[in-house]
Amino acid sequence: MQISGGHIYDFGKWHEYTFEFEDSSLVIIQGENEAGKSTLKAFLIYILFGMRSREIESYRPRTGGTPGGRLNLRFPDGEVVVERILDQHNGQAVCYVGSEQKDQQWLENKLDGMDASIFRQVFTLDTEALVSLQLTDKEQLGKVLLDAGQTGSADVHKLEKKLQQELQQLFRPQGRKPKINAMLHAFSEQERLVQELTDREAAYLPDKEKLQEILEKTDELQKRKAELRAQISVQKQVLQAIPWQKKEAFAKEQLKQLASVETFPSDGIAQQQQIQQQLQPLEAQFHVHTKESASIHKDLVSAEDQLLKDELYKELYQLAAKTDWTAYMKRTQLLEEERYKLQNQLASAHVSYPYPDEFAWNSYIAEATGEWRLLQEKMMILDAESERIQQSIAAKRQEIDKVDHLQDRIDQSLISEKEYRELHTKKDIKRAEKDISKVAFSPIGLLLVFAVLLSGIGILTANWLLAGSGILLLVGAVMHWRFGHQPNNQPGNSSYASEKLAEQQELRVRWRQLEEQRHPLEVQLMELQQSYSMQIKNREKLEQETAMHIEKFSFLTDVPLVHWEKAVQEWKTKEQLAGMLHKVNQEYEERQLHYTSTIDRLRDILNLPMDLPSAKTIEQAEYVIETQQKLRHTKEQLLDRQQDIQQHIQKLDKQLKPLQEQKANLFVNAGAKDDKQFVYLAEQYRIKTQLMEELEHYQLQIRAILPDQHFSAEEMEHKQDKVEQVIASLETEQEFVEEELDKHRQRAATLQVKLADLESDTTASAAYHELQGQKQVLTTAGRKWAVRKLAYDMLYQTKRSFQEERFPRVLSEASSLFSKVADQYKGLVLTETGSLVVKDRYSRNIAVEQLSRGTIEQLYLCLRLALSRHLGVQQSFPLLIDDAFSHTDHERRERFLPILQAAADVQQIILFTWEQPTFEWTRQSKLLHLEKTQKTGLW
Amino acid sequence: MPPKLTFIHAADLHLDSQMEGLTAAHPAMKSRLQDSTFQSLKQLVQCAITNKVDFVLLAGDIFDSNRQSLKALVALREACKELQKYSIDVYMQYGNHDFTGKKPMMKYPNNVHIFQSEKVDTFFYEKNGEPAAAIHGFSYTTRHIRSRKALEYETKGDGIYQIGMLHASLGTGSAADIYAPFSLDELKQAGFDYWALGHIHKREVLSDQPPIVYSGNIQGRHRKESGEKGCYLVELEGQSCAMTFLPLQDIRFETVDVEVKEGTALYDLEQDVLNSCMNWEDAFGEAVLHIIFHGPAHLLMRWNQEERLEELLEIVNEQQQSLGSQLILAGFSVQATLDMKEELLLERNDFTAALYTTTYSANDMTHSLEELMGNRQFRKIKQSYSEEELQEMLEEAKQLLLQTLLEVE
Repeated sequence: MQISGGHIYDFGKWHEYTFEFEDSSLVIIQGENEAGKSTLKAFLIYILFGMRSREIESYRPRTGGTPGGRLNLRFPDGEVVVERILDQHNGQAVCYVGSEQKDQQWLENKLDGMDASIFRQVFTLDTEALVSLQLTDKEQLGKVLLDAGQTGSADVHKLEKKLQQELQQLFRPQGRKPKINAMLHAFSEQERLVQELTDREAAYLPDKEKLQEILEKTDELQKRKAELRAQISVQKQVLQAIPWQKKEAFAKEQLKQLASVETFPSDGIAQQQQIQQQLQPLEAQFHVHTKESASIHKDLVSAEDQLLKDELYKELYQLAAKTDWTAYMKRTQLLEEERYKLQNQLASAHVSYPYPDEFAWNSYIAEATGEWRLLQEKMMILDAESERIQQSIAAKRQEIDKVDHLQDRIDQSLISEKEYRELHTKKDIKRAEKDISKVAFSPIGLLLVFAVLLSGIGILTANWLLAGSGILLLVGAVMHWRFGHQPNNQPGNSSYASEKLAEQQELRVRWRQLEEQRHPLEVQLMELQQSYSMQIKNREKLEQETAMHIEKFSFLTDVPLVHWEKAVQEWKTKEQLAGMLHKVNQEYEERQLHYTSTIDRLRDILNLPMDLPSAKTIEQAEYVIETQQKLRHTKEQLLDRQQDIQQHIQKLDKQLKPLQEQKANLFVNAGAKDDKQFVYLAEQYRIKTQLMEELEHYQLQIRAILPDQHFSAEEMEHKQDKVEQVIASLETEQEFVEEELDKHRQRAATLQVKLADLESDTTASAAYHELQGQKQVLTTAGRKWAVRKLAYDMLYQTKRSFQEERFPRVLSEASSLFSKVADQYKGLVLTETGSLVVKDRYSRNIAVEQLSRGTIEQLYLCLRLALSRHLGVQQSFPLLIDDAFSHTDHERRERFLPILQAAADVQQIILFTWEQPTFEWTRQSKLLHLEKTQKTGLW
Repeated sequence: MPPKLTFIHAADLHLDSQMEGLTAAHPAMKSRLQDSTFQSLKQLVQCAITNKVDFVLLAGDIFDSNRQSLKALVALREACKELQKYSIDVYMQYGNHDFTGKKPMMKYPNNVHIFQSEKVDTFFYEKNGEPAAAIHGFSYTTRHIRSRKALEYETKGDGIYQIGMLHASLGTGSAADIYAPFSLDELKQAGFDYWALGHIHKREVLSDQPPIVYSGNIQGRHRKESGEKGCYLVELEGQSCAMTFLPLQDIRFETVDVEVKEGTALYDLEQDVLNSCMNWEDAFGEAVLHIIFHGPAHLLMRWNQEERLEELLEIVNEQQQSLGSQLILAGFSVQATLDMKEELLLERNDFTAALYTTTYSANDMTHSLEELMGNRQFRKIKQSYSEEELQEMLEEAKQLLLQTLLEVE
């Protein structure tokens, strides 16, 4: 079969492109990269075999058309046009043989069942194959070449390698890392774990049985414990009852001894108490009254003894009690004091004049006293008057003397009348000259004049003293004039005269005034002197009167009138004092007498010694009186009280009697003689009652503790020991049982926990499931390995048989081809060990590894060609070589030409290349040049 | 005439059983699933109480293995205790999975009656103080019982119901008859009123008269145990027998198909699956799904090899969980269709054709797998591959090779 041409409707970059190979069996399609060579190659394959949808997608034109086209095929029996359009006939090929239309199946048959994959393997050769050849290890080279001869492409080899790799990764008999090995290891580990856990679980049932046993034993022990507890409780009751029984026996014994109180009435004590209750206060009262009565009686007797006889008491009372001794004594004392006082007064009474014996105060004297007083006053007034007048006279005379004295002095100062007159005249002249020069008349002026004069005289007379005095006087006058009298320019000389005149005038006035004063004074003096003489006359009259009185009362003779009254008064006082003293003395004495007699009587009455001081006696008497009074009063009271008591006693006696009778009856009933015995019996009775109660209580207790049993006293002693022993042994056993029980419970608990743990523990189950899971995974992995191993072995076996059956023919074909192109080698041989060797011209075997790269490539090409021819034994298929030689140098490339030329004799060869072919190449081939930009066109 | 009896017939509880094929499931979902047998048991107890049954029959394989995990034992004990509260008796026998080579591990309450030995034994059930039924059965004490135990069953007592509990499989006459093989005739001849069978997980009524019934298991454990799982509520009254199926499963196992069309992108597929989940949830409720992807090999094989489908399931699971859905996409398988024509391939003489036509004998396969199967540890997990499995794997291997070679571009 050959491709003679075709037309692309749309395919990749190709659009409506027609190409023509004519009848050429060697077609060279030249174009640069991207010129569309590969697309064209794909188009050829697509039309012949179709394509997977995924693959065809990449050739869907970008312009939106549908991939499709037709090829003109030339078979030995005629031409066929194959058309395939993606969306027509379900993408299947339609063939046209003449006017006949055939389907895809027809085409497949026509192509001897060739499919795309095998076509690709065998009938396409590309750069990659040769390049990979270059890269192949030398050791692998023979194998690769052999594969190339058997299957074409390296896919089988790749597959083999891949399978081997997968197998290695899955499992290795001695490995640890591969998946299955690792899983098997894990599986055995898991198996061990499962076994461990299973073993642990295996203990479950035995443990469960053990637990059951323990629980049964625990129940048993529990029962035994309960039994023991019951027994102990019974024994403890017995033990508890024993003391009660002992008490009971003792109480009975005591009761026996109390038989004597049997007659004692049951309410004896109550009766006795009732009676006693009534009786006791009454008796007490009776007793008290009796006692009181006796005491009163005793007091009465004693009082009688002490009492004075009535007469004596009365006298004593009269003497002592009726006398106010204190007042008496006070009075006496007062009198005494008065006496002393009066005596003293008398002694001290002052009399200015001796008391005249003839004096006795009387009415005459009293009457005269009034006259005396008047007389005395008159005399005194007269004396006073005369004194005053005498004084006034003296004063007047003094005044007159004074005036006289003053006049005398003025007289001394007064100049003579003549002089005065002169002065008076001078004064009148000078008053006329007064305004002209006052200076001249001024004393200073005069002084100056005098001073100048004096000094002049002195100088003249050479009397230096005089001159000096004159100068000094001068200086002084100047100074005075200058400083002292400067404003007053009155000259001294003139003023002096006037002053003198004025003075003289004044003095004369004064003198006349004094003269005028003296005159009245002298008149007054005369008047006074007249009064004085009058008084003298009056005095004489008075003195006459006085003489008359003296005549009448002679005792006044030596007494001046002035003291008459006084003296009489003093005498009178003395006279009175003497009288009073006398009276006092009299009274005092009387009293003394009365006192002494009374005291004496008192002593007598009271049988006191006579020499006892009176005060004491009085005291005693008063005491006796008081005592007696009291005694008498007490006696009366006692008598009253005694009477009352007697009445009470009678009343009580009436009440007491029936009660005492009752009591006596009670005692008789109780068999008691007296209270003491009754009390004793009552106590005994009480003890008995108590014992009875206790006994009842004991019996009750015993019945409560032990309803049935009862022991005798001897038994009890014996029993107690025994019971205690029994209890001890029972308790020991109980302890033992409890310990056992604890142990069993503990073991049961431990087991229960263990069992519960086991029951709740799902580890074993989980581990088992894990194991099963691993098993499944392992099974799957094992299967995977098995499938790959089978595939691998099958592949190997097929290869072997293929090698044996079909390869020899391919080999001889290749050998013949190879010898043609490589003249130094005779051919190819497959050794017995299945390796490919080359025979040289001396028939020596040369291992392919030893060949040069170029020779190996030639050999490869020969093998591929041979294979393609062999497979196309019924008919040849075009061989598509896509840039397979482009990587080689020119020389090497040239060595391919003869091979291709030789091959082209048998099958069409379509060579895709980017290189411009040499003439050698183009000479025998059809060249199709593809422009890079070319999209359509006819070549 | 004995009084009417109401009881529950359940079998193959497989408590604490491993759920298979959950490789893609979320860990939380896994634990939820592993708890599902217990949940189903609780459901069973609830049904018994609600329906006021007289007793419950558990016809073997109550536990997943003779290991009898303590978790399972405790769960069963608690269930029995709960039933005891309602005076519901429990009759139990052990099957080939939970055979009691050793002593039983649990002490059950008094309402539980266990057939302890391989000798057929009888318990009498009294209702209202009157004997009402004779319940016959035996337990496995070894993994296999080859004898025809069905022949040992005999009626006991007059005028009472005769109920047989039998954990066994129908005899085939082959060496595979290792689970107390029986024939229907043998059972029918015993003259029993009801045969409560166990062992087969798919429920099936083998006979109506007398009723010979497999109740199936109460909770599916892998994708092959799909659909509703549960027990039968049986009412015996005289000669008549009414059976009602009560679903008990906590979660269903289902297999669903997803078509992958040529040219589908992975995210499209993801969306498809997500959309389908809504329909599946409507159809199954809470379910564990196994997805079978159907589609062109060049897509599916590649995605599978690149582990893209696993990722897809994980993503969908996560999204489902966040949506609160109870669907679990537990796993998947791929059914890829190779884009090749066998007859054309056979005409060819290239390597791919040779690979396609190559044959690989069982011997070759054994030889190939020797490496792995020679590993003692692995043999514990997988003793051997069955012929069927080997063929399946071989086919897969071939597909793997062809797919790779055919996908050359």
